[in-house]
Amino acid sequence: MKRAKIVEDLFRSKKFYSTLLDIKLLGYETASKKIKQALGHPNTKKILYHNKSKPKSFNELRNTKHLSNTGNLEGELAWFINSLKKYSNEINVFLDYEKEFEKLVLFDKFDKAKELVNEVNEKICYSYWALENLFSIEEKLNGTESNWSLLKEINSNIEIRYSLFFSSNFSKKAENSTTLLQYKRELDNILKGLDKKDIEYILFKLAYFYTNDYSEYSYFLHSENLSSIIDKYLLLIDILFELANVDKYKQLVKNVLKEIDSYGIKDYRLDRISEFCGFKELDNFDKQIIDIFDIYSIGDYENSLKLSSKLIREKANAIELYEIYIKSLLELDKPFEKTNISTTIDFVLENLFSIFIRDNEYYTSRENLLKFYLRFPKISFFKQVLSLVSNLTGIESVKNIINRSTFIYSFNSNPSLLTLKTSISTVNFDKTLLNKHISLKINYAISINDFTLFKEGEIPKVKLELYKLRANYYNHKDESMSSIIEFYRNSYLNNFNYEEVLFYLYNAYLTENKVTEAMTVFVDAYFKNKYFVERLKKSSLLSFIVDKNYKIDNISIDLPIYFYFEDANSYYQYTSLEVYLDSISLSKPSEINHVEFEDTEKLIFLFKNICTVNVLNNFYLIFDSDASVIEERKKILRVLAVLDKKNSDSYFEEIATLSQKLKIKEIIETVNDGKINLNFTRIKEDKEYNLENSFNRFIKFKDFSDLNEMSLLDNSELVVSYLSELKQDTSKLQQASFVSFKSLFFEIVDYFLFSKEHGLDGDLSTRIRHGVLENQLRSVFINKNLIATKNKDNEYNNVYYWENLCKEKSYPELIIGKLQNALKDFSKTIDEYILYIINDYVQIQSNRHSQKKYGLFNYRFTDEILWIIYKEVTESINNYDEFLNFTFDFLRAHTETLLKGITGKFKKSLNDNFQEALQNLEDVIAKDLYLKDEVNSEINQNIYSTKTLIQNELYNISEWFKISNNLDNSILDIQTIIDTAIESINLNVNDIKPKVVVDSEHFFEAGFFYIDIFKILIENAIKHSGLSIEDLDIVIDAKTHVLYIKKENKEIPISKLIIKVSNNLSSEIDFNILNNKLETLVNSWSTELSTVNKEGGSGFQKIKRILKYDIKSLESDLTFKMNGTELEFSLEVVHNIKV
Amino acid sequence: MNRILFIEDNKTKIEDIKSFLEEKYKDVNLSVKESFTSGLRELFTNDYDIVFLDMSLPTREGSQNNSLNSFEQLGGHKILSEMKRKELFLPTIVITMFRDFGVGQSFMDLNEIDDMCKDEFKTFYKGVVYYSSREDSWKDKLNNYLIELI
Repeated sequence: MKRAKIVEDLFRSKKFYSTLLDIKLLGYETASKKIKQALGHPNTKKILYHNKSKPKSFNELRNTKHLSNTGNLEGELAWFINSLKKYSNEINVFLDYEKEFEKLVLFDKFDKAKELVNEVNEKICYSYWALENLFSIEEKLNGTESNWSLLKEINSNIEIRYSLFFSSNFSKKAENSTTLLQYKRELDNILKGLDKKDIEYILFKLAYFYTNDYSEYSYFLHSENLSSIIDKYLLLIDILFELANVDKYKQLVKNVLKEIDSYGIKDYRLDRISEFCGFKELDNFDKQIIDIFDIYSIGDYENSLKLSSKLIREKANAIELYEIYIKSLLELDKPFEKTNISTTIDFVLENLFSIFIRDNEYYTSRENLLKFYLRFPKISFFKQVLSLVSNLTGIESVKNIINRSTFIYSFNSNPSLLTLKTSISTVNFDKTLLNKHISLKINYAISINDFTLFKEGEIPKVKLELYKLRANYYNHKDESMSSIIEFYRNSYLNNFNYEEVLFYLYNAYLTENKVTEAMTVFVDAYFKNKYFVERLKKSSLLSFIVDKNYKIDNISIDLPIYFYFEDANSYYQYTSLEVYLDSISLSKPSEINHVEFEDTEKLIFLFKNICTVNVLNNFYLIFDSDASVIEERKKILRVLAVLDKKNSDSYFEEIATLSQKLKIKEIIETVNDGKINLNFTRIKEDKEYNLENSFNRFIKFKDFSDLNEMSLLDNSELVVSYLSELKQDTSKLQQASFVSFKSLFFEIVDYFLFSKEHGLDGDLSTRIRHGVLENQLRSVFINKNLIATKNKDNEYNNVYYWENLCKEKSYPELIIGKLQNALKDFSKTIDEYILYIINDYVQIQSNRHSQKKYGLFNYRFTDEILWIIYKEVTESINNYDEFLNFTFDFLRAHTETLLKGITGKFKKSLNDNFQEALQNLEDVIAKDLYLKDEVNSEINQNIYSTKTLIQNELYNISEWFKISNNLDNSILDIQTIIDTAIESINLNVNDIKPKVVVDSEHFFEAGFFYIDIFKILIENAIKHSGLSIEDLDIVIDAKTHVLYIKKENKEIPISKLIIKVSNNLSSEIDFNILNNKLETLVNSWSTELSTVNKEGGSGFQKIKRILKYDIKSLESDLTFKMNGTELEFSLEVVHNIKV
Repeated sequence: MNRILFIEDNKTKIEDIKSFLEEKYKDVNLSVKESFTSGLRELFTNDYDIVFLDMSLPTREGSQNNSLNSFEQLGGHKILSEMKRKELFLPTIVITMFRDFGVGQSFMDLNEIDDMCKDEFKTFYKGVVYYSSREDSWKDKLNNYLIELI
C-alpha cells in the first residue's frame, strides 16, 4: 500500500520533529487526518502515545518530553484528541470509577474512596486526578497532619518539579484551615511575574473560579500533553465546555465530539455539551427528578420536600434536587432540616440554604462551598455546586461560563437549559413532553415568554407571576415594570423570591434609565438585608450617573450611599455627597439637621462611612486646611455619638485620634523633612490582607514538620524551575517549617514595600524618584550655567550663556566649540549620574523582587538572618498580633538602619562623585582651553561655588530619607486623652469643665485605654461629691517622670505617670461613711487581684483591669485623701517606655 | 492678556514653564497654585483662559509631608473631573514628569492616561506634555498646543 505523503515526508525529513510540529499548525480536520496518517511512522506513535501516558507511579507523571507549542488551538486540539484514541477502553473504565468515586465522597465513605483511587492507580494509571483527590481525602479522613505526612511521602518519591509544585498545592488547598482568600494570596505571590498563559494554566488547574477570563486554551492543551490519559481526558472535557460557550468554536466542538464518539467513549458530559450546543435533543430527562419538579411546580411543597429528600439518597449527584429541597423548605417557611443522608450532603444543603435565605451565615456558607469545590474540583457534583453558588451570589458576571456549567456536569438533561434558549443555540426537545410535565412547560413558557399555555390555577399565582418576570428578564423585555413593582412591594415573598424580584426590578430600572429608582431599590435592599445586593453590585449605574454629570431626578441621601456601596474612590464619594448636599441647599454634612432627619439609619451610615476625613478633604471650596477638615469630622462624630449611642466609645476614640494627628503633624512638620512613611497601622487595619490564618498555619506546620523532619522547596522557586523545564535547579531542600516561615515573612515584607495602597515604593516613586530629585539636583548646575538640555534629537544644545559671552569677547570658533563640548560632556556625565541615582539607587530590592540589585533600600535577607528571625518568632512569639508587631518592629529598625546609610551615601560618596565630575570639568577647561580672562574666571568661579552648592543640596536631599510618621494611631498624648474623656462624659452630663494641669507632651502607647481611666476617675468625682455639676470643681493633674531601673547590668528607662483628680465635696455628705467606703475600695486595689479579671465590679477594679491587661503596666497604686471638703485620688502607673 | 492657571508643586518645573512663557508669549499672565485643593479653589473662584495641570499633586499647600492625606496620585484627573462636573470647560494641558501612575492596585502609563482623559474630557482636555528638566522637547510640544489656544 502506498504510504501517505506525510509519512514519506517524515521519513525523508532531517528535521523530523519540525515536520511533525507543522501538522499542529493546520486546521482541526486536516491536522487530525494528517496525524492519523503520520502514525505510519513509528516515531510519531512514540511521541503521540508517549511512554508516560499511563504512568505506573507518581514519579513517572510527566517524566518524558513532547513537541513544542504552536499556539494553534485547532492543531493542538487535534493532536490532543488523537493521543487519546488508543486509550478509549481505559477512559471508559475510568469514567465508571469516577462516578463511583463521586458517590463515595458524597456519602462520606472516604476510606473506600481512597481505596478506589489506589485501584485506579493500579488498574489504569497514576494521575494528578488521583494525587489531588488523595490529599483531599486524607485531610477528610485524618486531618491536616496526615495530609502533610502524605505530602512528605509523595515528595520523597518524586523528582519532577511540576509534580512537586502541584502536590504541594493540592496539599495546601485541601487543608481545613486554608481560606479562599489565603490560598488566592498564596497563588498571587507564586504567579507574580509569570506569563499570562502560565498564570491562566495554573489557575485553570488549581483555582478555576479565581478568574473568568481564560483564553489560552491551546497552551493548556499543549502543557497537558505530557500528563496521564486521565488528566488529559478531564482537561479536554473542561476545555470543550469553555469552547462551547463561544460561537466561533461551535463547529470545532462539534467535530471533536464526533471524533470522540467514534472512539467509543461514553460520557454523560459529552451528551450534555451536545445538548448545550443544540447538536442533539434534550432527551435524557430523569423521570423521577422531573416528577418532583412537577410536584414542586404545582405548589405541593410538603411532598416535594419529602420526595426530594428521599431521591437525593438515590441520586446524590443531582444538584437540582438539592435546590428543590431547599426551595420547598423556604416555601413552607421552615428552618433548615438535615436529611441525615450523609454529613457531606447535609453540609452542602445547609450552606446552600443559608445562601438561598440570605441569613448571617451567607459569606461563611459561600466560603464553605467554594472551599469544598476547591478541594474536589474534578468531581462533577462540586462543579455543579460551584455553578449554583455562582448563580446565586454573582461571583461570576462577565462570561457566565461558570453559571452555565451546571448543565454540563449533570448525569441528566436539565429542563432549565430551555430558559437559556435566547442566548445560546436553539435547544431541541420532544414537545409532547410538555403535556406530561408541567415543570418542563414552565421552562418552555419562560423561554418563549408565553404563559397562555397555563390554565387558571394550574400553578400557584405568585409563582406564575414570578415566572413571567423571569421570562421578561431572559427575553430582555421590560413592559412588566408595574408587575415587578407590585411584586417588590409584596410582603409575603420569602427572601429567596424577594431577592429574585429585586434583581429584576433593579435591572428593569437600569434598562429604562430610571437611575434614581434603581439606586433607591439598591440602597433600601441593602438596609433590609445586605446580602440582597450581592448580585446587583456589578452594575454600570455609577458610571452612568457620572456620565450624566449627576443630572438625575429626585436626588436623595441614597446617592452618596450608593456610591459608597459601589466602592467609589474618595473623590466620587465626595462628588455624590456634594451633589446631595447641594440638592438640600447645604454646603457641608454637619449642617444636616439630624434631629428632624426622617431616616436615622441612613444618616448614621452616611456620617459614619462616607463623611470621613478622606472624603471631606475634597471639599476644596469649604475647608481650606487640614484643621478645618478635622473640625468638621469631629462635629460629625459628636452627632454620631448622640445618634448611635451604643457605638459612642468608638466615635470618641476617633475624635481623640484626629486631635492627636493634627498635633503630631504640627510638631513633626517643623522638625522633619522626611518623605518616608511607614504605614504599619494601615497595613494592620487592612482586613483584605489579614495573615492571621497563614500565621496560625505556620505554627501548626512548624510543630509537625520539625517532628517529622520534613523538607520542602519554596513554591515560587518550584514554579519557575518547572516552567523552565529544568530537571534540577540550584535551590536546595530546606527544613519545611523554615520554608513556610520565609514565605509568610516575605509576604509581609513585600506588602510593606510594594502594596500600591501602603507600600514604601509608592512613596519613593511619587515623592522622590519622579522628577523631584532630578530637578533638585539639576537646578544647582543649571543656575550656574554648567549644564545643557537635550534637543528633540537627543543631542545636547549649546549653553547659550557662555556661547554669547564668548562671542561678545570675540573668541575663536574653535575655542567656543571646545568649551561647549566640554560642557556637553559634563552635562552627559551629570545627567547619567542623576539617572543612575534615580533608576538604580533609590530603588527597593527584596528577596522576591531582586531586579534592582543596586537598590539602596535593600530588604533582601540572607538565610542566616532569616534563621535568626525564625528562631525568635518560633521561640518567643505566641500569637499573630505579637508576630505582626515583631515583624514591623524589625522592619522599622531595618529601615532606620538603611536610611542612615542612605543619608550617609548622599552626603559622602554621591557628593564625592559630583565633586569629581566638577573637578574634571575644571581640569578640562584649565588644560585644553587656555582661557585666561574673565570668562575663564567666571566659569571657574561657578564651578567652585557649585561644589559647595551641590554639597549643600545633597545634604538637604539626604534629610528626605527620614521616617516622617514615627507615631501610630494608638499613641496619644495626655492632653488629648483628658480632653476626650471630658468630651465623652459631656455627651451625657453637660458642661463638666475640670481644670487640667499637664506637665509635658508625653505620648502614651495604647492611649485609648487611658481615656477610660480618666472617665472613671472623673465620674467617681461626680458620684461622690454630692454636688450639682454647677457647684463641682474638679482639678486634674497629670505628671510624668522618667526613672531608670537596672536590668541585666543595663539602665532601662521606665515611665511613671502620676494622675491626681481632686474635687470639692458637699458639706451635707457623711464624710465618715464616704471615707470608709473609699478605704474599702482602695484597699481592695492591692489585695483583691482575683476580681480583676472579671467583667463588672467597681470603677476602680475596671481601672486595675485596664492597667493589668490592656496597658500592661509594670506596677500601679491608687490612694486617696480627704481634706475637709476636698477629696483627692492619686493614681500612679509605672510602665515601659516605648515612645 | 491670557490668564493661565498652573497647578503644580515642583519649583524647577514652574520656573522652566514661566521662562518658556516669558520668552514665547509675552501676553500671558501665569498664576501658580501648588496643591490639589488650592488649585481647585483658585480655578472656581477666579477667571482663567487656560489651565496647565500636573497629574500628581499634594493635597494641600505645604502638605508634602505628614499631612492627613498628603498626596493625590491622580489629582490632575480629579481636577479635570471636577471641571467637567461643574462645566468649567477651560482648555487644559497636563504637564507631567511621570511616565506611569499608580492607580489602586494597577499602573497606567502616560499614553493610557492621555487616552483616558481624551475620552472623558474630550471637549476641553487638549493633551499631555512630558516634561523633563534635562530635555527641551517639551517646549515644542507645549508650544504646539499653545499656538492653537493663544
